[in-house]
Formats: sequence, C-alpha cells, structure tokens
Amino acid sequence: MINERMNDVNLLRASGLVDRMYLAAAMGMDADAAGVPIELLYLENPSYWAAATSPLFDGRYYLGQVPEIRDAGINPLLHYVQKGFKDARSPSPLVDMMHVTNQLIGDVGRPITLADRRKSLERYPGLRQALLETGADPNIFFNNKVYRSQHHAIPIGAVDIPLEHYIARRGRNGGSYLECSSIASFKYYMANNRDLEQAGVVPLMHLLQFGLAEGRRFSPAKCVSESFLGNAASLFGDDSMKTLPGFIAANGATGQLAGPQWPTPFTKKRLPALSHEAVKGGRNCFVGIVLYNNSDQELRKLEASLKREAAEHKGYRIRWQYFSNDPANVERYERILDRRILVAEGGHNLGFGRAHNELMQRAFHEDSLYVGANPDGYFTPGSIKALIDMSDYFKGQALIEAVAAPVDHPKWHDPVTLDTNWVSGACFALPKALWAETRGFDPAIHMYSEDVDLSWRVRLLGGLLKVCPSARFVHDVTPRFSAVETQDVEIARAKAMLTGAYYLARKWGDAQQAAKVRNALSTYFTPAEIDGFAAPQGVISMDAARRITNFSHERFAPSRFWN
Amino acid sequence: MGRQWFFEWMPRPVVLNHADQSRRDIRSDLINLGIEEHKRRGNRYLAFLDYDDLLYTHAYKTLTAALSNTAAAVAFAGMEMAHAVGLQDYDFIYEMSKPFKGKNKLDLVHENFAPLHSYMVDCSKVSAHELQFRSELNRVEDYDFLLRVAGPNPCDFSQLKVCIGAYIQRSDDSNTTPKGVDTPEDKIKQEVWKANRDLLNSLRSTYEVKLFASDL
Repeated sequence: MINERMNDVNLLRASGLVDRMYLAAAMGMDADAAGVPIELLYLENPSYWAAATSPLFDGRYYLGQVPEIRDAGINPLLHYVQKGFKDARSPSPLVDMMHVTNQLIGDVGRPITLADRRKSLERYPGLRQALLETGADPNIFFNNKVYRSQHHAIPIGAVDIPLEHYIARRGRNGGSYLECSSIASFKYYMANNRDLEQAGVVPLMHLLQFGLAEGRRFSPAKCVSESFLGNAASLFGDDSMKTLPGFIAANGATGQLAGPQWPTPFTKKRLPALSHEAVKGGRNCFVGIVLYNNSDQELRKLEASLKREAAEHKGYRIRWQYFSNDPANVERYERILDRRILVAEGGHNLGFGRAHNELMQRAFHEDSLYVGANPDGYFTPGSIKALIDMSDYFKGQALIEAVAAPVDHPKWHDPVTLDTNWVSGACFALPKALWAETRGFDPAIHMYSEDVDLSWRVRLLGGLLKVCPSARFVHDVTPRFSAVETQDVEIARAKAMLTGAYYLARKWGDAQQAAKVRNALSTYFTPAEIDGFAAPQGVISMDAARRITNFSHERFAPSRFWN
Repeated sequence: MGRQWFFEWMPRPVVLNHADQSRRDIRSDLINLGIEEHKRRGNRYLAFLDYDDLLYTHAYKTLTAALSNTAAAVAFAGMEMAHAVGLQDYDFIYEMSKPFKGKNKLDLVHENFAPLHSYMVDCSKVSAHELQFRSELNRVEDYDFLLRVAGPNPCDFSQLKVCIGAYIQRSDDSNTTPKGVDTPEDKIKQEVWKANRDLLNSLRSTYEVKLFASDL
C-alpha cells in the first residue's frame, strides 16, 4: 500500500523546489543513505522543516514569514507549493516576490495591490515556471542580464535559472567572484570584507541575510545615503526604512532611491505620473492670484506667462482671475493687466488664504482644478498643463506643488513617487474633490502655515501630497538667504511666519510646539498681544494629528538644504 | 534665457551656430564665438553660464552693482554647489554645499574657486585681446581666462557672501570635473585634467599678476 505521504513527495518533486543534494546537505546526510526517498524523510520529520530544500526555497525563512503554519504542523514547502506561491509569498531571502511581481505587473498608474500580485501569478503553475518563462530577476541584487553577460567556467543555458546556477557555484568562478548585480560588486564586497572570504560564504546570500543589516559596503560608489533613508522614513512614516533592508522591503523594485547612485530605471525613462495626459473632459483649470503690493514688472511677467499657457496648449482651457488685498493699488493693477480685479467688500485685506478661498468659490463653478499662484512669480512654458495632467493621473485626489525655479523648495520630496510632507502655497493645484471636503484654506490664518494646514487636512482625508517637477514656477526666494533683503522685510516675514506657526501648533494639538513658538513670538509681541491672536475653532484629535503632522522638523518636513 | 522668450519687452536671445566637423572638444571655440559677438555689439558687461547650471534672479544686479561704482574690472560673487541625481524628467537636487572657499585674489591665483558663472567682467576696463579662451585647452580654460583677465586688473570680492547661483554636480558622473575617486571613468577624467593643468602651468608663468586694495 502506498504511503499517502508519497503523493506529497510527488507534489514537491513536481514543483522543482527540491534539489536532493542540496536538501541532503542541509539535513546533514547522504541523499540515498536511508534507503527511502529523502523527500519522504524530510516531510515525516518536522525537525528538518527549517532546511533549505533548494536555492529557491528556505524553510527557516518561510516559517518566519508564515509562523502560523509551524503551530498548525504544516510542512512549509508543501504550504508554499499549494498556497504560498499563489499568495505571492517570498520563499527565500534570495527570492523576493514583491520584486518579481513588480516586474510582471509593470506600471498600473497606482500602487500595486496584493490582488494584482496574485493575479500576475495565476498563469504559472509554480515559482520555477514563473522565473523561467518571464526571466524576472529574483531580487534587487540579482540581475539575470548582468549574470548571463559574464563568461562562466560552466556556461549557463537558456533553460537554467541564473540564481540556481549562481548558488550551485557558490558565487565563484575559479578564483574570482561572480557578479550578478548592477548595484553591488561582489568582487568589491569580498575584497573589502576579508572575514567573509575566510569564512567561505556565498557573497549574495551573505549580503542579503546579514551584510545589509550589518551595514557592510557592497559597492565603491555611494549607492546608499543615510539622509535619503532617513528622509524616506520620515516622509512615509515608516521607521524601518531607515535601514537599507527595511527600505528594500518597503519598496521592492519600484525605482525609489536609497542614495544618490542607487540605480533607478527613471534615469532613462519617464516617471509615469509625468508622462500622462489628462482625459479630454479634465483639461481645464482656473488660476487664482492674490495681489498685495506687487510691482508692475511682476504682474506683467505673470500675466504674459498665463497668456502664453492659455494660447499654447490646444484643447486645454486655462482661465485666471486676480484678487487684490490692497485696494489702493487696484487701479494700477487694472491698468497694467487690462482686466477687472476682484476686491473684498469694504476693501478689506482678507489675508492670503481667505482671498484664495474667494477665488476657489468662483473656480469650481466651471473648472475641476484650482491652481493658486503667488503674484511675484511666473509660469515656465508647459507648467499649467503639467499640473492639469498630473492631477488627472492621480484622479483628482492629490494636492500638487509646482516646483520652484530657479532652485527648488528646500524641503524633501521623494524623487520617484513625488510624495512630499506638505505642499507649498507659492504655486499649488487643488482638485475640486479635495476642495469640496476641505473648503480650501483655514480662514483664520492670515498668512503663512495655511498651506501646511491644508496639506495636513488633505492627508487626514486620505488624499495625496505630490510635487510636480515638470511644472516649474519661477519664484526666487534666494534673496532671503543672501542678505539681499532689508531687515524690515525679514522681521515682518518672521512675525507673520511665527504667528501662523503658533496657530498651526494649537490647531494640531501640539502643546509643546505651541509653547516653543510662543516663546519665539515674545521677541516681537507682548503676552497680551499674543493672547489676542486668533484661536483655532476646532482642534484635531491628538491621535489623528500624530499620524499626519510632523513637528519634529523645524519646517514640518525633512530638509534637503535649509540653512 | 530660452524660458523667457515670451516676455515681449525683453531682448530676444541671439543664437549663434558654429560648424565643426572635427570630433575635438570645441568648448573654447564656442565661448569665443559669444565673446566676439559681445565685442561686436560694444557691450560692457560680460558673464557666462553653462547650460546646465543655475543663476538666481538677483545675480547680475549684484555683480553689476559691484562693478559700476568701483574701479574693479572683474566682480566675483558667491556660488553654491547643488548635488543632483539626473532623472529623465528632472534633476533631483538632494543637497547643497558651499565648497568654493576662496576669499580674494591671492586665493584665486593659488587655486580657482570661481565657477564660470560666478563672476562678471567690465569690458571697458580690460584689454580686448585678453577676452578670449584658449582653444588648446578644453579643461581649466576658464581658469586660464581668469588668470589673464583678473590677474593684472583690480577685482571686487565683496559679494562673495551673496550666493548668486548654483553649480550642479550630478551623481551619474556626467560632469567633466573628476571626483578624485578610484574608478576607471574618473581616472580618465583625472588624466585629461592633469594634461590641461600641466599646459596651463607652463603658460601662466608669463601672466602678470598685480595686487590692488580691492583684491584683498
């Protein structure tokens, strides 16, 4: 009578994930010594289940990923063959299924879901077939093309899986080490870590299992930067990204950068979010500009750039309107711009946010996107179209910042996903759906920090905060940092910024930050004057605020080059 | 300049074409073409900008102010270095630094600390024949120019505290400046630089250097 376990043995054999010699070595015996199939010995004795059965399956690793099967007494390889593969689970530190499925799926214009990953594997009976048929790289440090391009002592065939070929040779070719990565050099890795050479490790395996966590250098180039990792961890609210293994686990092969020379396909191809064109019904926007003490030249430049944008992009409708917060200048503005300028009833100065809110009200009667722009800047060609296109790419769920020219805003943004901690009010695009929920800027903030507050409320709603590098708005703030401005201008700005920051800290429930800003305000105002500042009408709950806000950075975001 | 052409009230940029069938580096020839056009038009202030570097909006105001009220023939201002990853869509600047440390003419004669776009020449105060780049140099040609033009004339370094732009250093090694690291690509760059430096060193012994009060 056949042992029913033999059906399982046949299943494992069919998977191609049992290399008898490999498994025997892991079990510490000769493959044929017991006179019964070694696969049967392996299945019948749970003490062997942590063994690596082939270069593609590591029992210990898999049990760590799916701990519940240990308690349920289920063999890990059997579980992987029957269920884990279809669930896109990684069977070994050498086979990262996030990386593999990313290659199979490609760009879908949104974050890849587990359902996408499962679907991408449906047509393959198992891992080996998927790797063979697609040629997908098994992990971020193993590039099949790089590996195949070398001259091996034992040539690699078209039907070989390169990773298996590599492991079978323990990463060596005669007296030298095989290369398999465009990121790492294993000749460099072993030459610079003499202890590993003496220990006889397989370089790739060591790097993935230990070397990354130990911070060992794997390339002469500066691929990894602590500031890149730290800023990514801060931006995405995930401390695990501070280490390279955590960063890789979080991102897989999305092309995000762990450092200045970390390879990304986006040095040679366009970012999907920047190569999209809006659907025909969504090619419109309304540009709102709030004026206050602006020069003739500033207005002439901005108006000329708007006219150009409106004329240049056929099929895109771009309207714009000015709102003046200084009625004394309205006549001059109207003469220069040759158009009617909006003013508040009674000629009051509404402040930056409220004036934009007035313009937004008008915008969303007809348009699906509001672009707010500072009056002391202007659009470079194609910028407004780029904002419209990108807003459509994110399906109207992103508050978007046009980058500043001639030099960027100093806060960090992810160079590939284009996420940022908050969106600057100097030039931004707010889609109608987000406006409908937020109603624009908090009217209690006269000037400064209202953009941070709006950004955080967008995040609270589940919206996205993005930077659009192909929309460049010329807004040069460098004179501020070069002592070109007068002291009076600097003091006025400092007072306004601190007043906004004080409101923001109280609204978002950070008493410590509020006390700190109040202390700074006392340089300019008496305690009674500070007590008279507008108080937030609603305070965001501490729990919600902690998920959204970031007061640990002086300007609410990691810096690229502040100070 | 190209991005401002839609401002009708501003002068249109002049674009000059230069035909050259050889495969040599013709950067000096190209810049000389611009200088000759500048002379032909009788313009006073001369400044340069590489296509991939940045100037801030107050740059020329800062430099011309330093030249117009003094005897200085060359004015220098501060420059920062933007470290960037060159993506297909844009340069992602991940860091700024200030590696250009020189303070006066003595420092300049010792070593070039002035990127090409950090200074401006008042052509009314220098010999016209010195206003050209040496074709035989394709690296350090800007330093050679500075030594000949700034060396014998009064200079203004008072605006070094004001940053007027950024020199962009890309992490993909596309800059021609070597980093001094041990890679084959960088070694080639280092060799090219050394050959040019050697040639410059043999030339500069004949250059005149004068010190004026404003130089220090």
